Amino acid sequence: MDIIYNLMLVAFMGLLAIIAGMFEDLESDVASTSNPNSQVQLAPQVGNLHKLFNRAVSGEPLLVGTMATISGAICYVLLTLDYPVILVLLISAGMATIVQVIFSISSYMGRITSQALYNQPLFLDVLHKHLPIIAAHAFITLFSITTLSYIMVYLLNPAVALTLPVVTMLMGLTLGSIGSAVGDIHYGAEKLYQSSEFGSGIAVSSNGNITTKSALGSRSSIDVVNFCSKFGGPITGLCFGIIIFLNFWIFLVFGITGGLIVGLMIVLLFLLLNIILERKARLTYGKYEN
Amino acid sequence: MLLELLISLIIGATLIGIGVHFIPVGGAPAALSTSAGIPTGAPMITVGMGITGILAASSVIGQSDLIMVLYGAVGSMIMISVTMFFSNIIHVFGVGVPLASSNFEKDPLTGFNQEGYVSPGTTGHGIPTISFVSGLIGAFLGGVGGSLAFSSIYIVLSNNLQYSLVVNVTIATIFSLLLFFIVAVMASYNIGGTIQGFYDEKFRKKILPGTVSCFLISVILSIIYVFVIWGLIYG
Repeated sequence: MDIIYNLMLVAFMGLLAIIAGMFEDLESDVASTSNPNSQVQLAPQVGNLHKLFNRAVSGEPLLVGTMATISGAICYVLLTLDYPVILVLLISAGMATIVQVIFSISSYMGRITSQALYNQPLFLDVLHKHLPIIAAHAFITLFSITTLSYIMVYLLNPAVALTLPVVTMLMGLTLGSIGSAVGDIHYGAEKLYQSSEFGSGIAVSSNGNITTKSALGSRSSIDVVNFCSKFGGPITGLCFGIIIFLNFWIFLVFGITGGLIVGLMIVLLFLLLNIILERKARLTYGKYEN
Repeated sequence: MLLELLISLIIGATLIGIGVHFIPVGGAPAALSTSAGIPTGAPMITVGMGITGILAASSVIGQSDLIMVLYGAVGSMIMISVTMFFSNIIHVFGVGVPLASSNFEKDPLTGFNQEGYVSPGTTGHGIPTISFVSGLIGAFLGGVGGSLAFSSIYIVLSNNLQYSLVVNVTIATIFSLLLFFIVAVMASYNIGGTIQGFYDEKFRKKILPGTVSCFLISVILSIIYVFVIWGLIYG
């Protein structure tokens, strides 16, 4: 009975991780947080004024890790005061979201005013339009990470032998690192350069020439998140969900030695899948023609 | 006891440093399909990988050292393989580029020629098979190093302090995680930009100075760690 209970919990954790991963990547797209932000930052310097949101102060893992730690710490304090769990999870994610929104406002204003030299204006309507979207995505991400960590620390049997704020920090850092390694490609290589031809990497010479016009008027980061939610976001979520699920599942189902062997087999399976993917891509797309 | 801790911390941190050099890192240009590799900074992906390894090692706490170290390695390898695979999926289906790198002519494992498949003006995109394998080796070394540091700190603390299991594991986790942050930053300064794994020409130039510098910083860090832990026990 215990193993069925644990397996259901691990499956639920995988589901929560998928939601967290998906919304974290979309939040980083709408707020332009991660690696492709270098292009948004570069655009005014090469004469492309834009109405995209611009917020990158640290790497994505550190940002998500910090916000998740704030949420986890508030959650831990409120839990020791014996408040109902669902309420605690909602309040802690909400308070961390407020911190993230304040950070977004100051970061956007700071980044854009630093580009006044290149005549990039600071648009207040960009702030008004984007902040609710950022807050909504951040709330779902933080709520999912805090709930995921709560399950690991308090419900799983045997539980993870760590305190709640530390687990939220670890989950936030991992999620940020996966979000920046997977989902950002769809934003950086495809959506930012949508006016260039599909099926090609971005040449160094075209750096900074990002697409600033949309079907109707200027492009905003809400157009970006609409595009990325169709592929980049869900794939990131799936990636994080699979990692969380596999890490607990192999140990629960196959025991200690069996878990090691199955873990190695899973790694080899992904290597094989990668070879198949590489081969398929080469056969489908072929060589570049001048 | 503290000498054993010192030696295992030095070995662990040096292994992490060597492991970072094996991971194919593309940085920000890889997120634009301008360069091959994992599209984020080396410290960022190393930290994510290390955390998964430490979490996997902490889930088998109480077992023998070898099992904890191996679990850490497998946890890191699972994380890096899934991340690289999904990163490639976005490259192939989202951006529409084949996986190729101009840092080598031919992939020795699959035999695929790289020339012609790299789009003009770039140095590659995605993670080809040989870089994928190199990433797995890096994750193995990093995972072994991280979980070695984790398990040695945990064992010393649990044998000498009267704290609960949760406190000991938390201290060991944070200490071993900090090793990843510091050593990975050292290694990524040495790499200086992008690297495509052990088959890359750049790897041969960078691995020796990288190993030496990571060893030196490991010695300094480990001595500080041993002082802190000595203070926790006898202070």
